Amino acid sequence: MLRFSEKIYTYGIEDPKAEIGLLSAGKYSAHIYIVCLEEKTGFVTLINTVFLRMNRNADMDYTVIGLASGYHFGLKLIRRMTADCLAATGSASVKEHIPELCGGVR
Amino acid sequence: MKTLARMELKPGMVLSEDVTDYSGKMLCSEGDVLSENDIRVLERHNIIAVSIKEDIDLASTHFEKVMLSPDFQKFRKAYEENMPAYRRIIDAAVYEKKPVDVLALMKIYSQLVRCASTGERMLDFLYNMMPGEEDVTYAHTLNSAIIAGVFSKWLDITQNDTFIFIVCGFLYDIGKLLIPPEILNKPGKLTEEEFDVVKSHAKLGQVLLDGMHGIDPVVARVALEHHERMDGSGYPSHLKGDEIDRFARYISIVDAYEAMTRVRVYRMPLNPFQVIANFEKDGTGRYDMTVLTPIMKHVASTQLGFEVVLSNGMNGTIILLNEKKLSRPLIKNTHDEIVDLMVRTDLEIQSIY
Repeated sequence: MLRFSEKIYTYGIEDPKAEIGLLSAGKYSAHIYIVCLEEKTGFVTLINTVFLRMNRNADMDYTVIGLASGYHFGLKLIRRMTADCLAATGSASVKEHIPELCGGVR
Repeated sequence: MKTLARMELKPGMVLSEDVTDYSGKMLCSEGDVLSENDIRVLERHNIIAVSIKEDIDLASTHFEKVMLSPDFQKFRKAYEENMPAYRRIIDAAVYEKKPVDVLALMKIYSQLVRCASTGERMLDFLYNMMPGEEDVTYAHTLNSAIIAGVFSKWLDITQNDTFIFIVCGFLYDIGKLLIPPEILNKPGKLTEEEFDVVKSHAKLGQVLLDGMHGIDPVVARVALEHHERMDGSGYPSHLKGDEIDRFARYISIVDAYEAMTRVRVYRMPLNPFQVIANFEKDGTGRYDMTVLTPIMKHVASTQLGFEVVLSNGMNGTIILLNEKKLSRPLIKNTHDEIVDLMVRTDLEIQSIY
């Protein structure tokens, strides 16, 4: 299941609201990547949304904190989030500072 | 090997085990090709059943054995059944400017790869596929996507990277479909102008894919850069080293590997050691060695234990690889002598059994 944080980082996404709407409706596209917190493992990870269709991901809960169009933009997004995290908190550990960076869950 | 009742035996079948009568007297030996007389002898001695070699055992080379195997037949059927759908997806993108349905491509990919138990087996299958003339460009990219999937496992790259690598395999050469076939398939040497037209496929592919809905921008970049080489000798922009996208560096190896191992009307595909030799000769400096080396090591190591025929007609078994020159392993011949192909540069592996 996908949940979305209040503030979502984006890179290369023309209409983030529309994209969130599509993802919420289970409409995944092969070029859309999400940066998200995997609730089960506690990892922050970059996933192509196509993988959300896989059975092994069906029962996973993800909190989406970033959206990117394409893999390279996904990596750039992570770099930007890490830099923001470092500037705001003095730590580069994004997963420990998600509330400061992205607020709560919608 | 299978056991057949005597009644089912036919002349020409090959025995896979010795046949003795009830007193232990040898009637026929393993490897004997049965004649009508042999079958009568077995009847006279009241032999009920014997073991014979199946067609697959009778095939001479490793690749002929693969061709006769049931899982290859299954793969070939799936490949031929999926080819029209694959063509429709690609043609819709090229000629109708419709977005490529990546998920449909991945479905085709999954249906094909599940026919083979391992990546090595899958490469064996591709080695034996001979597409129709009109399917050559499509088969090249379909094969490239499958090879990309196999190499991904060998390179131990992430799931995200694997996905992109496979999608790039499907689409990097899409621009070739915009090149006039009379130039692309010209039998003789191309003129300079014709070669310039062929080279334009990289840019045409990038223009086609750039901004296409559902396509990762990196795929368009790979289409543009897949003929760039690490030493700057490629085209169109003569990029060097890290200036070339990582996936374009991966795909350039897949592209070359596929071209060398594809069956052509006019020649058999190169065997794995000939492919490695070609990469050793021309590849150093041109391809990303951090990617090429592990792939070539894997290709070579899968050949260990295979029987080979050398260019002087000598038979032997591959017993050890030379780390410094993977294309020239150590062979143990039928007289139990070791032949080091690093030393015997006059010899080559001609075929693998």
